[in-house]
Amino acid sequence: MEHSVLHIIGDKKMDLTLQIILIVITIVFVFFIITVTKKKQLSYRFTMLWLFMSLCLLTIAIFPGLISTLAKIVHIEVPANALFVLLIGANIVIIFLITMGYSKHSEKITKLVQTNALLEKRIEELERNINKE
Amino acid sequence: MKCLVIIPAFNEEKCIKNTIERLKEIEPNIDYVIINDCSKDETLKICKENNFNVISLPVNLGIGGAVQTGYLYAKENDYDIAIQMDADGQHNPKYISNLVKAIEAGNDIAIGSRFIVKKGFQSTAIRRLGISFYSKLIKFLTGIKISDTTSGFRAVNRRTIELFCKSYPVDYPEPETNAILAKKKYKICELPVEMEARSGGVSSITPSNSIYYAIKVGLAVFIATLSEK
Repeated sequence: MEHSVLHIIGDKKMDLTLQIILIVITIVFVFFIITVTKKKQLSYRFTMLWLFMSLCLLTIAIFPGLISTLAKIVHIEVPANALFVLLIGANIVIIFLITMGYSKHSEKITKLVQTNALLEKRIEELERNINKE
Repeated sequence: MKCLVIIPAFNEEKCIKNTIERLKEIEPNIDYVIINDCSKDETLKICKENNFNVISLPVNLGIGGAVQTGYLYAKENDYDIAIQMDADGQHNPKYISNLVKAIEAGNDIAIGSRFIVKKGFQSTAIRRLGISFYSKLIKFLTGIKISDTTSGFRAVNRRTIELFCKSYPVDYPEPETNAILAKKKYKICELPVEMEARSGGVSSITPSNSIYYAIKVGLAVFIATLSEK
């Protein structure tokens, strides 16, 4: 491997240690994702999303040359900036999806609360009518 | 025609009793429902003690969700006309009969406007500025003139009840619903009413959220007119 993480961040020679640190962190992250999914603290939709993100991180950690190539293609001078653009972009997409999901959930909760309140009202009235008889 | 007065209430312990008693005095035969939006004060207790017809939301939904509950109740119980009225005593029930007549005459919505006959509580200068801005915006986007776009004192017919049951804005709903109705070519009319300064409770619009309000409503009116044909 000619290109390393250090290579993309500075322009120094490849440093294997940093690459290994990144790979280890990503693997720990993957285990964490699987653990919380098992405990039902994360739904499969998001498990898949985060596993996909981890896979991307892992790929970048193993083949840092990809980032340099991407930087060249889109005319970003410093490869590290390409990495930042990529990660920030991914974060924006995820946050946007979360706000969309949040809006949908708010609407569902509103519907539930309203139906619940109307049902309670009907039960109250039924009980009152029964007591009258 | 079967009429229902919808009264959303959030922390209105000071005035809810007076409001309902005045309504019963002026319109003894009309049905009403109070939507208690999970008030933190004694509003619900006062309603129960006085045997008022009340629906209580288990969590706070905000004004939009509360009012929509009223419209859902109106639809469920087959009402022909629904009248929206504030719990804080700003709206005098003596105008209800006029609003109902306007609906019976074939309008889809009748809005009580404090600016036709400029009498009574005219709101603060800054809010009048906001209201006139939304009025101009709706006029520009839909071609329909509504002077009191933020008025929460209004009556609607069955067709509009059904529309409101399907979708109703979450917060600051009036200008947005007016824009939607205008764009959908519903028949809108405005009637003069005199409003009173609130006798208790606080406005949902505070200085700190007024900028949010201004932008949100402007955007909502704009998007509403884009998406409706």
